[in-house]
Amino acid sequence: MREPHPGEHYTEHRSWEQKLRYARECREQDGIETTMIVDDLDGTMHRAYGEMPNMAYIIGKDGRVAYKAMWTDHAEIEAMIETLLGVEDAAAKGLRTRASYTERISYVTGYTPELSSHVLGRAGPKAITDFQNAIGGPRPG
Amino acid sequence: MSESADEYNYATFTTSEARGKTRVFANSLHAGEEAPDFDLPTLEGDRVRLSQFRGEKYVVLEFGAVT
Repeated sequence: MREPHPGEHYTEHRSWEQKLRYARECREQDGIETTMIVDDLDGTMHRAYGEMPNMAYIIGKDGRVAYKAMWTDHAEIEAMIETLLGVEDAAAKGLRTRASYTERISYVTGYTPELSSHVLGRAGPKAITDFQNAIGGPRPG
Repeated sequence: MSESADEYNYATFTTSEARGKTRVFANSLHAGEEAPDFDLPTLEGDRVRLSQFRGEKYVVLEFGAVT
């Protein structure tokens, strides 16, 4: 997806090659071990899923959205996968479950000085200034 | 799509960007709906198509960027 907070060191994407290079550097810097896929320059896939910068989805075996979250919460994702596997176990034992729909507000940690320094700091001073102007909040430590 | 590639890859993060996208997210693609298929490259040069996992595996999608 696009860079949500472009700066002097990491600008907005201007070419596919640049986007690919940023993705590689992101994986190295953050120690990401899962498969990383890279969207096209227009953000076709990112747009189709709702355009948030750190959203998360779980897609069921039926190809339908089982879970969506505006901000990634790994503990919640793990709990949801446990639930889905539990439904399979129940079915294997002949227990019937039925799908239901839940909607709720969740609460995530606000932007801390540490996170701000890590993410905005590596983007460059412009990213920090833009963030301050747009939202306010803590200055990088 | 309403945005051009230049608009999508904006150079400056703004208040309207921050507010607008939360509404886009909340109003699109709900739980229970068919997930849009995609066919995209990995950093290893393979390709991943969402539909290849249908009937086989759950798929976790986490979106991110450097900044």
